[in-house]
Amino acid sequence: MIEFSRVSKTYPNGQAALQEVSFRLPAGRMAFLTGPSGAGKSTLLKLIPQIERPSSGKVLIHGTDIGRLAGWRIPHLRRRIGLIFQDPHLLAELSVFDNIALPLRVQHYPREETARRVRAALDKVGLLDRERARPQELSGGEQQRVNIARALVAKPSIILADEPTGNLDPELAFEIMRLFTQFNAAGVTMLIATHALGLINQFDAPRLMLREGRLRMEEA
Amino acid sequence: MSRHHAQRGHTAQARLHAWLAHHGESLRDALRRLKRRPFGHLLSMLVIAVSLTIPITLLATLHGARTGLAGWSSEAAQLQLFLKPAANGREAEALLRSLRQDPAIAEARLITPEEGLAMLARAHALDGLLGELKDNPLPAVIELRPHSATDLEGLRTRLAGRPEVDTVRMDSEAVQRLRGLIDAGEQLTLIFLLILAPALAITVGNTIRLELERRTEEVRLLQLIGATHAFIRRPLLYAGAILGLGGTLLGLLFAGLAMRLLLSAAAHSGWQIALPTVPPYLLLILIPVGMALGIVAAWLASALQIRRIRPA
Repeated sequence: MIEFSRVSKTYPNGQAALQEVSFRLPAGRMAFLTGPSGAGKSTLLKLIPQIERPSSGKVLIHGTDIGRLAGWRIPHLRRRIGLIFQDPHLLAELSVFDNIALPLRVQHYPREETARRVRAALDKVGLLDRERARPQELSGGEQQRVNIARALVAKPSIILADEPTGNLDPELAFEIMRLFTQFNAAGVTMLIATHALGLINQFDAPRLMLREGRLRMEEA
Repeated sequence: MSRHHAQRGHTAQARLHAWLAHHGESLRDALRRLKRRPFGHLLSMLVIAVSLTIPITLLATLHGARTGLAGWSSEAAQLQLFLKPAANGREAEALLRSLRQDPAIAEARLITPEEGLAMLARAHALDGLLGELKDNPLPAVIELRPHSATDLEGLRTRLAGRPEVDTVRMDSEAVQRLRGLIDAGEQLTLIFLLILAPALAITVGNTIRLELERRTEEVRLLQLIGATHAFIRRPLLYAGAILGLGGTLLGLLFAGLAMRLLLSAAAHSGWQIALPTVPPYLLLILIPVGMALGIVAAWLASALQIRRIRPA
């Protein structure tokens, strides 16, 4: 479960990105976070894995106030969250397999278990035959699918996606969204920031609309 | 978190193996990165090596001198009794006989003033000059070798009390002075090494800092997927250890070459000196200390730098 309680975020330059935002996304549910550019979508997502800290208010993950977490526990919080960015952030020096295996290596998974999980994730995103390729040998869509495979390989309880289809053609974007609904059906809590209203209209999930840092909830 | 771990169904042993495997991966990763930028890393190692060459060469030379002095034993210990000018040949012979019966003395030999003058003329090619002397100014000398070098001072005092003896010279005095000089030299070189250590740490730290700057994006990603600072730091610590070890080994190699060059120069000048070797204690200390210094420097540099890098 993700819960925001009167969360505000003002950056050091004085920009108020979020103001008194409150919402609750129960465990195993999926929601879209929408709004124009600069509405505060990315800031809201960054508060969940503590990439940013709120200026006021509370962010609770599975009932835990993450603002009270000791610094050494933050990596453990992040291991429970899969992050998908618009830019895939793949490491050019590593193969597709090794890029996807990173979250498992960070958590010291045994080698056999790592190989099994990476291949399962590659299978889910349809890239089993590209495991030895380097990211630069892949198309934009394939890179995004590697990004998704990396986010889900450690079986996180939450997946956060920031404009995951921003660089993709409509067909591939739809395919990615369909993948997300499958993960959600498997019990993963999903929060997807996007301004592709045409795309999300095809999926049945609540929308959290942000405008100038303030939240307005809409039902699908 | 324990429920979370239990869900994964991994035993603690499997995770320990995976953690150890990460150490192996970190070492391979560090070696790969060193191989990818060999020039920069070699340059860092050379800086360390060149800095260490002088103190290592000095310590090895001093160690060689100390080892040479250790060979100085009772067999080599000598006392020279310079007899009073008034002592005539008969008195000198009587004293020689008496000394030969002394249980503390293994060997005694008389050098008459005439023999002394001849030896001096031979040694310094002063035949012509010494031949013009009207009187021989040299005293009779008795050279003696004691049975043991343990109480040379006692023997010296005893012999100095003999009425025929003017002065007693003991070779061990020069040796003691030389030992003192070696001690001081070693201490000064060790202090120099201690002063040098932070400079070498800065060299390693700077290399690691540059490496981290190149890897900022990777570090950001690792932080986002839940890597601890220790995980991110591990390959850098191995890189620091390799730089420290490589620099120290190169320093030892350069010191070896420097000693050979010095010996060769000495041989050209007519000095026959045995090749000094790096003392084993120095190898036992320098190699692990070089590695440890590299690790500590890498730890400090990465701790500061990783804190500055924030996931975006």
